[in-house]
Amino acid sequence: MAVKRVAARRAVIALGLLLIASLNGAAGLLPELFGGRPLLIVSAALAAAACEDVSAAVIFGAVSGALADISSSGGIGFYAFALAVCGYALPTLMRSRFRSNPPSALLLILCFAAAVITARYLVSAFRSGLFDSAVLFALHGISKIFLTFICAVPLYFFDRMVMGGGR
Amino acid sequence: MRSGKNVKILIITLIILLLMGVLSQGKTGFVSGGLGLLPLGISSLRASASATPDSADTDELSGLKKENAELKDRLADYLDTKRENERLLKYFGISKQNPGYRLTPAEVTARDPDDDFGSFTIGRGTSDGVEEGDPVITENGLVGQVTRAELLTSRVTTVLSPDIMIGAADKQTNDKGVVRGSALLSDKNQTAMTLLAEDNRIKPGDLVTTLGTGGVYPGSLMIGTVSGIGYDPFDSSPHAVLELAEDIRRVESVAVITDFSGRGRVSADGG
Repeated sequence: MAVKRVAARRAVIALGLLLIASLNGAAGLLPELFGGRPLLIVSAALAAAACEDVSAAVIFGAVSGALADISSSGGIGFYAFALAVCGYALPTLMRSRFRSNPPSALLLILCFAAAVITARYLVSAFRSGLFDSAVLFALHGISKIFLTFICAVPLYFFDRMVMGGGR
Repeated sequence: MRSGKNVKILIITLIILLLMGVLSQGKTGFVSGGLGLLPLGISSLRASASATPDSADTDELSGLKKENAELKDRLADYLDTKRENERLLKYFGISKQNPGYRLTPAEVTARDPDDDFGSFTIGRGTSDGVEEGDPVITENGLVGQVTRAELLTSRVTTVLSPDIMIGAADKQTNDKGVVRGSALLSDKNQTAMTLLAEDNRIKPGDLVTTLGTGGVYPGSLMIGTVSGIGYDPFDSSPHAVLELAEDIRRVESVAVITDFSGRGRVSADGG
């Protein structure tokens, strides 16, 4: 019974991730604010990582990152690796260093969103140069971090509700 | 024990991702094409929803409610058709002026939130004759280039991106250069025309169009207007700052030039 409940819960989260991956860039869905738009897939993956155990979070992170990469550049790359690593690190930190409560989870989501997006711009510096990447980070990256975090908040509470208030 | 198991799961996942990443570079068309279908449906839902007028229910008269529903449907169809007509009329005008172009009109269905240069996805793909490298225009001028074409959708990289380089010429002075996007200018819907001769006579107000000698873009496609002359902070070479003819981040419908005379041929003269 418990196994069925866990499977059903993860199926709901997986369907949600798939839906968000499809809607990630839908024209007109989310406007640009302060120079950036939220990365919904990153928000969804981090929210799921904050609620699930490590193995499920790694797989959710890898799959949602792969979907983000495919819809952006056509091949699997940065986000698949980054979100898989976040799927390992976030629940591990939650269990070992923090209390499992919403404020800790949201703080970690903010930190990991900042780390992923900053790393994205650092990686792009190899291609477009450090100066251009720094300019783009200042103009777009900072607002992306906060908007991604803001979108992660309702997704986190939705995942908690699906889990039945646990973690 | 448990953390050891978790590390193994992470390592195995990363190895699988690495293998998939290497093996599937650019060959994930069925997945990215599938992901593009939902925004296609959403954009047509949005068009219908924006046509919905306020309703005035009168529970007592079911006949009026039924008539109301029929009128709403007809209004949605009318507005859809009107928009489509306006869009096709614009591109009919471009086709008439340039009979050598083969145009495929398309709607913008998705914008990549991860891209800082306004790249977007259109609802046309290889099934409509769109190929990688096709120029993308609006009635105002050049917007970008198709950089990935799936079966039903295509990704367009805009002229704001440094990845797109276009041979261009000043219409007034005939000075030639290369138009390339810039991180500093892209937010202002501007781009830079670089590799200018030291003795160029470019001045603000001049029109800049495509050169058309490389066989990638047709000649004389409007790119933008010179708004100023700048100097590179690192090597003091001059460049012209161009105000683009089209507001790239607000574009909703475009046309893809799927064929034009001179395509694929490198020539010495422009046009």
